[in-house]
Amino acid sequence: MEFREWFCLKNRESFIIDPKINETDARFYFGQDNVKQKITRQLRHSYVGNVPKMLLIGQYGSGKTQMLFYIRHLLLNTPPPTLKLKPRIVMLAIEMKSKSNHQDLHLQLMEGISKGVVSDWVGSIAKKGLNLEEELRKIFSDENVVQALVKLIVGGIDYVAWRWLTGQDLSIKELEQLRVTRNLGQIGAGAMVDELVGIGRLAELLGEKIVFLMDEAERFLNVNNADAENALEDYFRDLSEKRNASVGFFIAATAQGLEDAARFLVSDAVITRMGRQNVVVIPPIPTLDDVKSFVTQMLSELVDQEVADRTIKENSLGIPLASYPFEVDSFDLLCEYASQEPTKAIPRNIINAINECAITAWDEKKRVINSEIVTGIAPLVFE
Amino acid sequence: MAINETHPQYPSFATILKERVVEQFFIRLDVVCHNAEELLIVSPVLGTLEGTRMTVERLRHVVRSNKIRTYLLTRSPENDLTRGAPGHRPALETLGGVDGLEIRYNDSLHAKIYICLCNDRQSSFAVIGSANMTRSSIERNIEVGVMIRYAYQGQNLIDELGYWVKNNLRFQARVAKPIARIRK
Repeated sequence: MEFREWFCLKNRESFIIDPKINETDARFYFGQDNVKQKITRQLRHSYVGNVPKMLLIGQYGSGKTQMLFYIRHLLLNTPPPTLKLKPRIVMLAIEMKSKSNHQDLHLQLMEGISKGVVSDWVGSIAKKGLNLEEELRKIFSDENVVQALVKLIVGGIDYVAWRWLTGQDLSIKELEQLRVTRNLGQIGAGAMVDELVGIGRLAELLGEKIVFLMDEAERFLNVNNADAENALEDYFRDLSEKRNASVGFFIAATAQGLEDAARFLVSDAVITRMGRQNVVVIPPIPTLDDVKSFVTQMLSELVDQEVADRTIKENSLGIPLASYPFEVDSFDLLCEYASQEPTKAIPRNIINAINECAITAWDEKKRVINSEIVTGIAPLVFE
Repeated sequence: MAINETHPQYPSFATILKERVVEQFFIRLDVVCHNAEELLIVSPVLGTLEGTRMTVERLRHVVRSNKIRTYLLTRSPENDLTRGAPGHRPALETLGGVDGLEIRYNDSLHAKIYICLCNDRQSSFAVIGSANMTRSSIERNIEVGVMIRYAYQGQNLIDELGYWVKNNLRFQARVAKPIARIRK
């Protein structure tokens, strides 16, 4: 019998939850009800004449990536009624090196939207039979951006145009070809944000709302050049402005607290624009009861309750459905281990411990996870 | 563009290793071991790696002192292939006493995968290729491997490979030494 059948798993091969591997896992966000409620409330409110701009901070394994996937799931499947447009969700893991700057960030955000999508949007305006340049000028104040966008749908020069729009440096010959006067971002981050916000407005005209989900934002800490840090602060400050409501974002960064995050992400200039209520610190799961609630919710979702109930009865396992496949004592023991050291009480560890306990029981052909198994596995994960 | 050429905008996330493939993995492990959380080794044949930069004896020390949860998948010592490998059984004996290190056997195993998952995900890396964890693969055989860093598309590759090894391949292999000592 396979592992999944052995433990009555519902359409999955293990207890591991990872939306990067199993897309459908995005619908889960167990425990941490306060965090979940706060984010969904902010999500709902932020669409009233605005767009969400949020920063999620938490230690490694605290569930930030899961939260980003959960937000994506909510936006795509049960969007707040206040969101009138179709969300265009752009999910990306930030890459930053010591010499990276605002240009690298802009490049990643633009590549996240993709050349094909922006070309289609520009093409849609052109297909309406309107004067494309005139229509684009209503959105973009920078004539250079207008020229580059127009060339984006012209064969032969479209890639040069895209490279300009993504902030890459072009040669003088290429700039002349595009009929632009300078490289984008040459005079600062503001021009890049203006372009991005304009592209957001273009999307809105076509019924879509751009929302970036930026993961691994702790990599901003790799940047170690003061000019680059200042430019990145400018970029985020401008992007966080309420008037720039055509582009939303959720940024997730690994950090113990705000003081450990990249300076330019959490500076007053950025946070006051983003709104302090939109900065969410995800704490480790605080108490024994919270851990129990997390594990109970998780097991009830991952285990097929009907099949498990039948298995318990047919095999006289003598355990309640709520703790299956754990015995009552071993369930309590696992939760106690998990809540002993606050920094270790994080979803990733709890999920790993449950999976490893189950694999050990399966190796030993045991239908339930007893205290001996938990005593063997839990210290490896939580100590 | 060849995979080992650095893209002008995207620094390479994958590098082709043509020499001492497995040793290069372990050298990198040595650098990040204080930060390593899990080590996944899939190698049909093992050796003691005496004479290389990371002997199995040293690997045992690294795993133990840094409390790295380690999953080793290999062929059983009774298999035709491993019977001819003098270091296979000694390597298993050396690693067999480590708490937090699991050994599983599957005699159909042919894949060679080495993954190091770190607490800060960006230090994670993996090597896949032709090389067994033996001295001859490091010093004599013609082997090739790809070193993947946890960056750009490398992130998804490492996540998916790691998930597959831990939650699929392990289920196809019988446990020879559980990860933890379970009191009976």
